[in-house]
Amino acid sequence: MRLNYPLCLFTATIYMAFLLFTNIDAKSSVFGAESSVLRNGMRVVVVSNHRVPIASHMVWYNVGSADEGLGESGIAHFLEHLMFKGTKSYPSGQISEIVARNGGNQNAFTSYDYTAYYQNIPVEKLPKMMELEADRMQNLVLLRSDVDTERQVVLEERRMRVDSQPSSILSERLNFSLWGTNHYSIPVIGWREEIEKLSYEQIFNFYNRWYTPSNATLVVVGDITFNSVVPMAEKYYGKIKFDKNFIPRSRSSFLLQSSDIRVTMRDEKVRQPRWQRTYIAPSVNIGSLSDVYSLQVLSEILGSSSISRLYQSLVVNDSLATSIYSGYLDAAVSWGRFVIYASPSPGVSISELETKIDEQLNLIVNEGVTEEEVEVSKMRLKSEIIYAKDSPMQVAQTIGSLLSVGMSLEDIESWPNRISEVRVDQVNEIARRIFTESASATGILLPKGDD
Amino acid sequence: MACLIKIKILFFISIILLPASLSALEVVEVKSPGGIKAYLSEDHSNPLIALSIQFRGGSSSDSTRKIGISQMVSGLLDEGAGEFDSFSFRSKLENLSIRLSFDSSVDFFSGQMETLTENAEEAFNLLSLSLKSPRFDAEPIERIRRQILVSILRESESPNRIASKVMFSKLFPEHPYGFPRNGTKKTINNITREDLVNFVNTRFAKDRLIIGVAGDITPEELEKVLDKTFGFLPDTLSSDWLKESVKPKFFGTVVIDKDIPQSTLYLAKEGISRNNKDWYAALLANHIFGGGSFTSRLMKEVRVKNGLAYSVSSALFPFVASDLLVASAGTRNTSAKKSLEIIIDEWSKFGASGPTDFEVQEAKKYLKGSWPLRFTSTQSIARTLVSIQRDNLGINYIKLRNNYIDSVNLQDIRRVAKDLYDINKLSIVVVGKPEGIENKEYDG
Repeated sequence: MRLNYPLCLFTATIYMAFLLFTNIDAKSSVFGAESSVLRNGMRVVVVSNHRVPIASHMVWYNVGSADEGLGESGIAHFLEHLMFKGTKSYPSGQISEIVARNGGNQNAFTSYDYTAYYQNIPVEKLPKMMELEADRMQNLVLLRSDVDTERQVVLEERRMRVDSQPSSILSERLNFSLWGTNHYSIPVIGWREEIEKLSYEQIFNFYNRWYTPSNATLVVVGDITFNSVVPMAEKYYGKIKFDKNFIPRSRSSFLLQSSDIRVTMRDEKVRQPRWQRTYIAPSVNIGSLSDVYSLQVLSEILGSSSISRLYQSLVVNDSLATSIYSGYLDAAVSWGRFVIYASPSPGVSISELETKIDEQLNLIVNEGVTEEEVEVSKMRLKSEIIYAKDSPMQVAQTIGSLLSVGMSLEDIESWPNRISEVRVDQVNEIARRIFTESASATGILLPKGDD
Repeated sequence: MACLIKIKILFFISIILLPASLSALEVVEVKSPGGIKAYLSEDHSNPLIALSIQFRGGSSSDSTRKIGISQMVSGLLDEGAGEFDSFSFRSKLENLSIRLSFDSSVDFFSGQMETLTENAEEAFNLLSLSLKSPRFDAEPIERIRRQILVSILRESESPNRIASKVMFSKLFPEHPYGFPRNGTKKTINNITREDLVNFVNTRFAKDRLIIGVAGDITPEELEKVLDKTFGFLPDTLSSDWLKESVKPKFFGTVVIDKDIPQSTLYLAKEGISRNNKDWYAALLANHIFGGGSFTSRLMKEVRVKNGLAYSVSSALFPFVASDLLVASAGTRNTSAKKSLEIIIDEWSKFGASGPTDFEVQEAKKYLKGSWPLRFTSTQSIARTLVSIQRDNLGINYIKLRNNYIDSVNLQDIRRVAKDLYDINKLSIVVVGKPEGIENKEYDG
């Protein structure tokens, strides 16, 4: 029962994007995933990995915090917590007990664009997990007292992740200003005042509206085959009724007039200043896919490694920062984002740091990156695929998140070929667009009394 | 995309899967001509090799004036070695996708390496160089020093890190376990290049080295590479890495005032040694009490029934020179007192009567069933092979481990719980503005 807080989501996805962008053999697919669709519209995706007799079983719903109604922030995540409470067949916490009794580790997470539930289990327990997950897709039972108790748990989670951490509070403010009318302006966990007021009926309506087979994807990775999983999926998930009234989500890509936003926060708990900037960027759904691949290469060159331009200039040569990195989040239903985080060296002012970062960005805008940088980065991204395929959990997570935001399995599997096609002029063009035309928000966190 | 049309036929297809076993995971001991040993789990399904190493002796072996030097060396070994300066060393790692890193804990100095098979030779060579002839050039030394100083500042922002630091310093006031593992501004600034060079010469030796390897490499290949990589190390060293064992000191309740809406609670007392014959009984007991993430007694009482915390758990920490049992929770300031009372109440109930037979059966099922989940990545297999050797568990441990769990009975667990969950020596640290919890430090 955790949630993909923007920052966590960001790191996870950056990592997997890295991994996805590559392959040794240009012809083969990345994961060798096989898929089909049940008659009720539920998608099934299977990847075999026979090293140990385990399986990662995940169900992904195409709904996240950005699908919440006005004043209902936090409802997607709150519901995710309540999904562990029980059903008619397995009331009062029995789901967790059954998963544990079967040697399983389970959890769930909520993001802007998806909500996912998973069990990692000894492979022979797969049918039981499917039975449980299919059951709670349609038969959730909520007691009003459960909702009230769990609300306190969610608020406690918010206190831990956000309210006690100045850097999280800053990120909330920054996103709110940057995204404006876009739903990404609202934190996944929700505003405290709204979490406090969410009603039993609102939560249940949300559940009824979104938790339905044609809005879900089953991903199974492990010591199984497509042919063994499909009949199992048919038996447990296939019997759930198709909801003919279901309307898939639609999101606006509307953005307010582009602007540069700056948020400065001072807090007495802060001992070490921080600097961050987010640019609104294309995603797998907005803009062309070649922009997405070019941005991945750009991020790799700019700040994704210890030999990147930002690290070498700011941290190694000028000693202005102790850490700096850039990342690109492409897995989004609406816009993506390109981010840069930095931590100044002791005694270095934030403005000195920022001037130098801007200098590096301008250098790319004006002079571009080199052919060699592009080729080396592509090669580097390429070999990461071997790591990406190593753990079943990682594979399930990568495939599930990208499918949930609307990428096709074909596109996921053919990323290595597409990354090979990235050219230096494309990288330079997208760099110019992002760093000179995109809306951005710069956040500065300072100790109290600093300027 | 293939659609499912022949639904009816599917009913005849058996969907029963056979029970899992870890028989595919064979572990062999490899011994090089030069006498260097490693555990290996061979697996050629993915062209990837993972290696994990540990040297006995971690931050608790650092000299008092230079505490944090283990951490600093771990940050510097992959910042230039032999003929390669920092940039060319890092470029080689990045461009060949070799993952190499070092770390230190209180008791061990460890390293991890992962590489694609095709770059294995270069990877082992870089690993060897980093241990044999790290350059310790001025630029990386000052850079890593700055990074550690900043990380010390950041730690002082985190309620969890504050609580744990205070807890260790109070439990082990006279012992290196009580000192800050990453050092202080003063000790980090004390460290010179000479100290770093000296560290490498006085802390790494064959008789302190433990090696675990997994993935796409044969025993014959590994034999050769072991000598090439580690053969230069001295057989033994005169200095002693092992610290005298120490009992955690009871210190009462310490409240650290911090203006945040949530209180972080830590409760600690003496734990149990990994080599104690009752280890598995203790493991089961703690799983039932606070280790099982969704099903433990603490989780049910504090979170599920009362909604007082998001995270609440307990864990056993068997260190080399001491052992701890620690519970922790994050709870709003206004109900910190109530949460603490519930945890203490559960603690004493568990000490007095132990778990029920049903709880024990359930815990056994979970711990046995989830064992294969430990082996889902090449790196996690290599890591486990190191701990198996470190704790002297035997080469067949992966297969035998579930029998050890099975052989524990209810009486064992109750006997162990009585001692382990004795409420009298429980020390408490609270960070936040907890209402109704007073500082009551005991310094007798």
